[in-house]
Amino acid sequence: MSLNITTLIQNLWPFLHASNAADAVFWPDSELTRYFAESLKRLAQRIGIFVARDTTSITFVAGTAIYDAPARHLSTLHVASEGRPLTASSTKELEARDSLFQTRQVAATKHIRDWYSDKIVTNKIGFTPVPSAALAGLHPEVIFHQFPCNLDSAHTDVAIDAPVVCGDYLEFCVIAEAYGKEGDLQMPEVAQSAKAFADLFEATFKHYWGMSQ
Amino acid sequence: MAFQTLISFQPAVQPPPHVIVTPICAPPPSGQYEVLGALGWLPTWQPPLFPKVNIRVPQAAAPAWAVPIFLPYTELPEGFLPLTYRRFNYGLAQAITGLTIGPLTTAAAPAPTTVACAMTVAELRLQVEQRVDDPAIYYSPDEILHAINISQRVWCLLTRCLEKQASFTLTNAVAFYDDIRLQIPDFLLPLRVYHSGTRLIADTLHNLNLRDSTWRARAGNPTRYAMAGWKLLAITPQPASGVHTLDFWYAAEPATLVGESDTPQIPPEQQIFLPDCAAWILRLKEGSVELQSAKKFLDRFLEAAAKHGQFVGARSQGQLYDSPPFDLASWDRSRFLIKLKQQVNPVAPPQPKANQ
Repeated sequence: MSLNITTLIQNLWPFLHASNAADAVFWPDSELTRYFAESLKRLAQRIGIFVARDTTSITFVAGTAIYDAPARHLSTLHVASEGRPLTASSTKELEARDSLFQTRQVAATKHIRDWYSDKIVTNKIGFTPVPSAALAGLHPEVIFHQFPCNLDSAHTDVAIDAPVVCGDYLEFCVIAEAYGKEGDLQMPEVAQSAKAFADLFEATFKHYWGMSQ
Repeated sequence: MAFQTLISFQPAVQPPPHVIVTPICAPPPSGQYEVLGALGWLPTWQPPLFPKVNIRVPQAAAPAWAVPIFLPYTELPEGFLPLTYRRFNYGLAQAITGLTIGPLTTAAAPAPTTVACAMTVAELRLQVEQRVDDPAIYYSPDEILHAINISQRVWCLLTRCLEKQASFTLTNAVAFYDDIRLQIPDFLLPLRVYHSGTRLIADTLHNLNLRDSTWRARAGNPTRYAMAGWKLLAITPQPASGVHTLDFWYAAEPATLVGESDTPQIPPEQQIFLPDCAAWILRLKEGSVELQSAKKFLDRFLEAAAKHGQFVGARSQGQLYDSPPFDLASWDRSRFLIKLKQQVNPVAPPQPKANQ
């Protein structure tokens, strides 16, 4: 039961005193789509509602410590290798423990122990001890906060993978954006009320889906 | 005409017999009119005795634009009744237009609306229309239906009152299920989960990692589960063979209301609050005083949701549900208060200075 941005935009026409895209002279379809996309990304960043599990993106290479995070990665929740959870660590901590942590490879019969993502380039994940030839080709499991970015003005992809009630939340976010925009149809009280209602959704989402991660 | 304007009256009061007034004059400009009183006729018919009747003239008014008006008076003789109208919200200075309407014909009073235990979409729609005083002219039927659907979804989100049970088929030796909605499409939150009659313990991925470093590949009957985000499910241990299912009790999303005879899935006694939220949603696009005055509807809806949410929450704690309820009572509802700018009259004469 995935949401469809085309349907969501159609739902919005009456709120914008229009019956179709041609009527909505103040808010073209592309602008509304952008509002939807931005609201969705904000939801992902604030609440962390979109949690994904990736087991294919990263492929260990012998001697390589740092890898690109999975696509649309926001922040890492859990990492596992060979079915074992890795410990989240920091560069400073690893340096204190072993100055060669970036090059020392996994000993035979041992496993990768830690992962880290600070003080390396954004959206990278580092592993230590570094994968050896024995681990080359294996894929670690990464559970992470993801942000959706599939919406564009051309509507090449219209699906929003979220509960239906998230669609209602997005609609109110877009109403707040639309009526808050400076212009002839600016209505601050409408924008404020829609934003307050969207915030109520957000607080609920945070309580239900943002706490157990 | 496909629409009509009714005088609202309290259902508890026996409605008086009504008179239908059918205008036969040329249609005025499109808009909304308000009956102020009778001109030189029936002097006792003055406000407040005279009912405030809103007449909405459709945009494409045909020559036969008759809009039946139901007046709660019976002493009207047959004949023409000149009434004074004014454009609604236009002010007295702009548009007092004398229209002659008639003839008057007596008719039976409209049947008072009966409130059934479970309200249909048609009944909810009528309730919404009465709250916003619009017989589906300014607000389209689809718009009203959408507002009702949002209201029901918000109610279920805030109160978690829609509880359902479903089976979730497990795959042997699989610890993660990336999208629980593939099997339970209306899934919102887990409440209780059983495997072969044994309840699973709700946990977090972090705790599962701490408890057992090899929980992802531990064979056996499931004893714990964890959710991450709104759709990622993990269980441990994982069955190795055979057919296994989880018995999910969950808070669900309501089905979207479509037909006029559809009924909401929330408890019948709570359905009376859906039109409140829907009315506020409809008023949202108008802004200004209309939105400000509709806040009472939203307040009533949220207060009722908070009360029912507390009831569901107390019951949930009694049954040790796995998801704590949302505390709506502590939500700051003052954020819905709007402060309107004072209107400036451009033709008002300048005020003399106090010193002069």
